Amino acid sequence: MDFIDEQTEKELIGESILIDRQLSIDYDRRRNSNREALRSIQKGGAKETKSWMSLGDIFIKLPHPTAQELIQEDQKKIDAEISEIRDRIRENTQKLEKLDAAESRNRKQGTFLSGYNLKPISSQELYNIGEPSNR
Amino acid sequence: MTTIIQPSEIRDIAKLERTGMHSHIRGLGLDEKLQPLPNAQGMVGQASARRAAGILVKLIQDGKIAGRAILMAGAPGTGKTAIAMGMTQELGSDVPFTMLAASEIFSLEMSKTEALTQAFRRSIGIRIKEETEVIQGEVVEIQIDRSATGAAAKSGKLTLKTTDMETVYDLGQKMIEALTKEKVLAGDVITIDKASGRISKLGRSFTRARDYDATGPEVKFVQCPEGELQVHKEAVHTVSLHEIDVINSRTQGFLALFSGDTGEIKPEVRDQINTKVAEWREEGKAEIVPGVLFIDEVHMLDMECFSFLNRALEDQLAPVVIMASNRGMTRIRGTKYKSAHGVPADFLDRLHIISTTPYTETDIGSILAIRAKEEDVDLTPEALAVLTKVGGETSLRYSIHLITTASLVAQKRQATVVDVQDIKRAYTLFLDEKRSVQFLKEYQEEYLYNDAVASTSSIEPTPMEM
Repeated sequence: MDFIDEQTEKELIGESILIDRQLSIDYDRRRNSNREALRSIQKGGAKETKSWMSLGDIFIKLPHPTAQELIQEDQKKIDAEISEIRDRIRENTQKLEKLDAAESRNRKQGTFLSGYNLKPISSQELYNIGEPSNR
Repeated sequence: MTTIIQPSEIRDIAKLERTGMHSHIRGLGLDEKLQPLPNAQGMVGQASARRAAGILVKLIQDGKIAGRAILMAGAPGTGKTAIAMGMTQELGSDVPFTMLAASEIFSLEMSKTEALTQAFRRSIGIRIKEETEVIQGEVVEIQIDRSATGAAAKSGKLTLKTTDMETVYDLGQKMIEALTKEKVLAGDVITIDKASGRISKLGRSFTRARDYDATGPEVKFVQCPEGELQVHKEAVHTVSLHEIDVINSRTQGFLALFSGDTGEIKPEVRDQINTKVAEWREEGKAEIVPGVLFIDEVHMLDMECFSFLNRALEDQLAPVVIMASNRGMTRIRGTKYKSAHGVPADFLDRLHIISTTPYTETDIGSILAIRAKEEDVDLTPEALAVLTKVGGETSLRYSIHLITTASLVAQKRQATVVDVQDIKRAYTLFLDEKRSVQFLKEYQEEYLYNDAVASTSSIEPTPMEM
């Protein structure tokens, strides 16, 4: 019965990873269409000060500045959501990997995904330590 | 945005896979309780030394013995280097393992302390994470509007798609230039790095393979990418402190990494790097991975090196140092004082000492069987028995060498399996140390520049002039 319990846990985590990935694809799609909308508003001819915007099922005619604000806010929210999803995926993948590794007793490589909890570093930081200007 | 996770691959891409002396070793051959199995993962016998090595590997992995030193002492051909290789395999590719022979320290280009410091810093790794945002997709169409008057293109649109979505990007001047430079066409699969704006072509999409009847040899076909257009890639790398030193020691420092001509690195640079690394550790941007430095033939180090090692081992960032010596009571190099293993007594005090014992005949037999398998040579059981006896009387290395030579002798008489006669033939053709010495004594008048030695016991090695 132990085996079934373990497998259930692993399958659950696997499911949530797959769902998160699909979510991030959908969010990216929305983000791209928002971006296209922003561009067309920015470029749009000087004559039209209002454009049609669809919010779900409703179409509303809004003045450009308001429309821009709305879309930009939406973008920010989507960006935040996507970062959260990314962190969740990372966490779940590490959990899954730990469960797998505990079972196969393969400690040789330590943890395959160690180091992913580190904060990122840029190549600027790495290559410019010895510069006297950094003091 | 999905994270594409890439483990840091083994950095030695150019490591040749050759049948070397120790290529049959895959690990220390211990079970879960760290008890050595009689014949596992290429290691045979030598139980207590292997058990000690297993405990050390566990301590290294737990990070508990950074800055300690271990000495493996034993007669030649008792598996010291083999155990070191076994430890490398057990630790895995993530832990930095530097192997050097003590005489590599002496060079005209670098002082001894600099060479030792570099060796130390090469054995300490830093794990860092690099992340990039890239836009990847298949190009559906590129539309560039050129103005009729000027030659410069002003604006354009790029339509990219993946299997899940498609979108249009507005292009600016720089992007248009980059695209034309890379000669991107519809149907290419490209990656655009968001930070640097660099474009790289991954190939052409399979769906567009039928566009042309003939394509050049350079054209690669790849699948249309799946998922989102804007992907967040993270890669974890383990770099050694020495590499960071070299990169920061001068402009275009990373070229020096490849050319190997690093020269002396200023201590100020090293200090700055140490402070930076400590900062990163605090901020959670880097992890320190203490590795292992293996110094073979440690009796070749002189007093200066030993006092330097004394000090360096007490440093905050110090790796685990494993040393090997096959000398008994010898003179410490550079002095006239004798000491055990050629290592000063106060230094010996700081070491954990593992000793290796010579192999028994059964062990030699098993080792020869493993080596024969590794070198792809078939031995008859009688041949193996004869070879084992030879190994017992002469030395393990000599009998290992005989395996390949005997197989060539067997090939000459069109046989696939090596038999006793082949071994006998190879034995007469190639002399081992004792027979060579005997031969030398018999014919010493005929050798050039011969200083006749009166003693009839084993030859005394002439003391080297230091």
